[in-house]
Amino acid sequence: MPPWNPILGHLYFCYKIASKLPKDAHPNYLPDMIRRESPNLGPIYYLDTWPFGPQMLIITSTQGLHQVTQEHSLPKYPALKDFLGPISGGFELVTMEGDVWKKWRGIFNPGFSANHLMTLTSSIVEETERFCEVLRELSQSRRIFRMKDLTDNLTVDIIGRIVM
Amino acid sequence: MQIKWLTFGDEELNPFASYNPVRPLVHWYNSRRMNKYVTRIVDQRFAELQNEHNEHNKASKSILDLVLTAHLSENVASKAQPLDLAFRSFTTNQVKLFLFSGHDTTSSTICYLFYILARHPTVLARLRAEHNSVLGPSLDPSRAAITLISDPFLLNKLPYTLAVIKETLRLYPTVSTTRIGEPHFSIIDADADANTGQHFPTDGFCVWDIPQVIHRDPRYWSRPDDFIPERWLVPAGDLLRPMAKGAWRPFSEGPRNCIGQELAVMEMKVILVMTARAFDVQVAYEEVDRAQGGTRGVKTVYGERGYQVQRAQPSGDLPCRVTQRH
Repeated sequence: MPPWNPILGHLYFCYKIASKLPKDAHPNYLPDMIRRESPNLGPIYYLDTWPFGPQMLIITSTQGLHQVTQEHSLPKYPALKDFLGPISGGFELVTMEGDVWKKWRGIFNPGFSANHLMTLTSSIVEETERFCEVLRELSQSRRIFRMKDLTDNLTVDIIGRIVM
Repeated sequence: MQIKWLTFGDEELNPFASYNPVRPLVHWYNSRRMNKYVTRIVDQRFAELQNEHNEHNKASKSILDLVLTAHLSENVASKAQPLDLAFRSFTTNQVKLFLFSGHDTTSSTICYLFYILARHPTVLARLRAEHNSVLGPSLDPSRAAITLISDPFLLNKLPYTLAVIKETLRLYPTVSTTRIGEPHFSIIDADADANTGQHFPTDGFCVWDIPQVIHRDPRYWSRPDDFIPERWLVPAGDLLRPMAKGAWRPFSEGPRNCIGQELAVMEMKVILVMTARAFDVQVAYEEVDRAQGGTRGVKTVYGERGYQVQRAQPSGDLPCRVTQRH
């Protein structure tokens, strides 16, 4: 476990690590930065960021992750329901558990089979042609744009055609 | 757009970023609009599927049809009645889940593909050569479109394209997932170079399945911070290959892995095939930073300006310019 303070937990440790990153960097960088800064920590450790985050168990070995995702697949973290709530109500494939999850995963699997995906090629190609038209216009205008805005529209259009 | 307001308490490393009181209202408003739109489509499609004698209403394998036909086959009575409200709401939610999870992460990865290709001209050249060789030499996306539609299986004959996608997902994975520990369940750390045999109880802990750290660990990858698509093409035994099973896990592993991973990779292949030869993308961070009067504080991760922010897309949503080549 990283150096732990009875009052601050790992907050100071995380603060030191985070200060080496840009302020808006994605939190996914945190465990990797911890690994680089504290190479003797070992691949599995607890991280206490109360009150800003949950008490965490960080696993950075393939063997450790195998235990929680394959040998004994742990249930999803309950706060996922809060995260997805505004979008999809909090009771869908990502948050279901047990037999209900198994049933619906089985119902949705054919929608993503290799054979079915081949039939979706023309839909994906058509939406990508529209994306290319947008790129052509931007090429003529020579202006700077945000690529994510374009790719968001493209992927929303593609998934819209596939889901509905 | 609604998604810009979501938080998992981790949108920024500033812990107070999640306490914006306006967010719930935005969710509610946008959610009503989305609900109305999706519900309308659900109702329409259910009515079409109930009328099963019409050839045009044959059920497809769209998420919507899969959910509705499951309901119709389980509830014979519903064949003559409107969709019951509880199941209609359930259907709308499944559709919205796939609409969300099926676009945002793919979008971020496509940005990173453009970011990578703009900064690695030899990779771009080799990618273009593969597309010319497999689809015929042409800079025009419409030609590639026609070829792909007439023979979609060409998408399975692009090993270097797939290697570029896998390597991009290695360096810039866009998803991490969390599990909850269970009573009486501990993880055992049996790595040879760590505390052998140590037990880690999981009860009450949020267990973080995070690919980012495994993807850059020198125990599993040689030259882990370098973009080397060849590591996916060299024969077994080569030093470049991943050094452990399960080291590449942008879609997680096991029964809860990403159901849409093949779809996501296929989309990326199509987009690369249709744009890599037709366009040159120039990343514009320097120009944008200069125009904003320079940058304050740390503005790179591992020496890169296009580090991951927010929902795992490149910083600033990847400002760039594009030039048409055809």
